[in-house]
Amino acid sequence: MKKLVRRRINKHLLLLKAHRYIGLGSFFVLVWLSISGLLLNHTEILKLDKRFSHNSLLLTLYNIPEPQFSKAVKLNQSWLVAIDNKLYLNKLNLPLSHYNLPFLGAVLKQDLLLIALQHDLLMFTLQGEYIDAIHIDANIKKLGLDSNQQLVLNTDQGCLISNEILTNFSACPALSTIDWAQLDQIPNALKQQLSLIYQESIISLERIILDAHSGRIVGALGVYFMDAMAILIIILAISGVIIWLLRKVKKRRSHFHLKKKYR
Amino acid sequence: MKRLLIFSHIVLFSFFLSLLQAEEIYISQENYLKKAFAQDILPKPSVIWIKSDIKKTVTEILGHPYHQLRLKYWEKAGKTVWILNEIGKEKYITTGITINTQAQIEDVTVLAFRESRGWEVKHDFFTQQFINIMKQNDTQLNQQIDGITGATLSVNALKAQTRMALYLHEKTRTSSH
Repeated sequence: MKKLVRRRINKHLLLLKAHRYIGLGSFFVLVWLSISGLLLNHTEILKLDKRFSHNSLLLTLYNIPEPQFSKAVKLNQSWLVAIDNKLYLNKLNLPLSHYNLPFLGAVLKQDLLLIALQHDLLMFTLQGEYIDAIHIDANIKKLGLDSNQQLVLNTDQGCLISNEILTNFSACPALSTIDWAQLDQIPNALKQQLSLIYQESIISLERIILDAHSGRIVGALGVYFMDAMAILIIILAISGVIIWLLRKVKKRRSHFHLKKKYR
Repeated sequence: MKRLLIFSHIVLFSFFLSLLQAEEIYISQENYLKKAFAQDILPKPSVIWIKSDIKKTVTEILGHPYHQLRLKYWEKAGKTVWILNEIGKEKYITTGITINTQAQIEDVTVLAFRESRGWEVKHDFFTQQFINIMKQNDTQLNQQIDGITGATLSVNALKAQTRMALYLHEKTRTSSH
């Protein structure tokens, strides 16, 4: 009987010890998971998806590749450059979230910047403010201006000319002389500057926190480490409940014995 | 335990249902315009620039500047139709608003809803509240709009869109007359 009680006490103590050491061991991870979870739950309010890391160490850790400069157009003193799926007016990233590249060219019409994508014509101010977009039901090949400074699109369904306020397109009149937009070579200095800007606009704080939350930030080992931690936290929770139940049972028993004794 | 299981299943089911609700296009812009003008041949779009005073008022109405500087609208015999985009919580809600010659709202229809919650605003029981509503002097609506529990941000977005459409309709009248 004594042996059985001692064995039970030993098991209880072992469980208590294990619970304690797992609790201490997973303390920092648990705190980090809670903090990062809280941050990720409020990504929009904290604008974590719109803030980007400029830390060179992190960029190296993520192994950000060199940007692919596809096309560029020189517009007076400004440069419009397409890098991967982004468009930069000088160093400003133009908001293109609803539209799909490829970028086919751009022209200046008075104080308007007109950009041709495959199915859309986008209008921006020279300061990069978004004005409007016109969807074209044809594949745009290139754009240009005619002798009257009217916008002309060369599409797979023929040549289209816009009205004055750029809301409608009709077939081009015959024999119109068109100055088609040309693509240019990007100067090396601008290329280097844009490479840096582009690389610094890829890894959002949300991505970093999410990867740190899952352990992925340090590769596969980090994920396994977080898996192990998750298992330990499950054990911690279960052992906590078992200890609580054992104590409750023990309390009831002693209460029952006391009652019996004094009855 | 049984109740807990039923509750967890309901929560999971609602979660998947809310995912299914995301990014729905109910009616195309072209079809809405055809419905609004009750004809197949549509009037050519006109444009209004959201600049200076207009930009200031629109910013006051929405609580932020409109995402584009130029807006297309369609007009025929004093009736105007506006297709506006406004963010509910995170994504744009595209709404068609028709305003009649008396500057009253004739129709409000949600054309596309991209949020995962608050899609109840697309229903007629909500949008019909806007019919015959006019603008007060301070760009507010002249009648109260009842909200929907759990769709406050979408309701606010639709209210802001209707206020903006009524204001812009008035602007097009004053500039053309």
